[in-house]
Amino acid sequence: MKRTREFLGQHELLVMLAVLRLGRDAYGVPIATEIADRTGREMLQGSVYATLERLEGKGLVVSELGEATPQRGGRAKRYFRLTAEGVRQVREAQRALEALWVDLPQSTGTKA
Amino acid sequence: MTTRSPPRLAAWLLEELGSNARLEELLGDLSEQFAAGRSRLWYWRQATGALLLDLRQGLRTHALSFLGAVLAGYAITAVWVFANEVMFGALYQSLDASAHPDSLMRFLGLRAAQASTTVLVFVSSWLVMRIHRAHPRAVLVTFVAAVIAPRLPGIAHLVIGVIEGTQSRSVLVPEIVRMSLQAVYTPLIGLWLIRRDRLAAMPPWIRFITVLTIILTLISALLYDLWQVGAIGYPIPLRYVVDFAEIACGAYLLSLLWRRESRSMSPKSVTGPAAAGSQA
Repeated sequence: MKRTREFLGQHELLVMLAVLRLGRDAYGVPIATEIADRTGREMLQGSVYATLERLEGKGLVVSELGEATPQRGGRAKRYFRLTAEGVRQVREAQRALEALWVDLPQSTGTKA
Repeated sequence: MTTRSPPRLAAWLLEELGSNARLEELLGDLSEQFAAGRSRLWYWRQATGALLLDLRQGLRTHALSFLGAVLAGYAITAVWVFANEVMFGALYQSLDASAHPDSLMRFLGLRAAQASTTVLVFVSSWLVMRIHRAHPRAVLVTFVAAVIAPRLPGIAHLVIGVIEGTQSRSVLVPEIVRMSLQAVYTPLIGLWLIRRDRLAAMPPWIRFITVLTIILTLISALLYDLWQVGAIGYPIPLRYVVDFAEIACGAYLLSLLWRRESRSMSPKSVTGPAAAGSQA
């Protein structure tokens, strides 16, 4: 029997794409900025970290400590990277969405 | 060049109450963006948003044990209040601060009542944190709030009475003192129970304040009980001074232990697992 897998949530996908786009500079601030700039949606910084914590738990993201600066009150940055499994799941989500997008009928939706 | 400092209260609340595993990094990110020109309102929105997210996450994963812990502590307190009234109600009724042939027995009765209260606070705090170990400080604060909350309407009623002149301050002040003692000593004992190090390993200042608090508590209780059985005179101004000193000392020790525990429980700055297969 085919194993059912959990899909990535919307926040998870947004954060993972931002991490992918930023490459080596992916820490909390640029991740939130990238999402805001690209999608027009401001994500709470706490929500970014809650999502990253979940992704780390699933083994889709790994992190390492970076440098501390006076502007950060002496606190270190934490840089995130996607694991091979993380990249694979992002690609899979992309394929699934694109497949659903093909031949999508025009609709304005119904009023709730 | 000087760096703008974030709103202290918001940062303090997030630091003390936040439970995100990456709290240090989150605080750093918020400081960095605030230094870059974000507003105080923005900082507050981020801090409260992060706390609400933590709360939602905590409730989702630990709601039952959290609620069970608070209810268990609340139930044991309610049972004790009932038992205390049954055992010592007559004694309390007979106290009028005048000399009495049975002064010694009455004094011993009051000491027994006081000892049972102390045991109750230890047992209830221990039980609450034993049932819910994931967030000991959060469950402790909630438990204290649950125990204190029922007292508030009565105190508000007394305050209104004092303002209107229908109640005496001598009734209101002891009630406030009792509530303050409970609000300080329950979390204080709870923090002692969850502390990570032995008393001997603590800084000398904390040990000194601990001993001072215990001495003040004993002196205050003894003076009050001796006055209640008519053995000594205990003028109201002196009583207020002793009560205030006891509460202030306990509150200070509470703040010391709270800060110490928050440091020992803050997320460790360790790197994540090695990148098994890094970013493409």
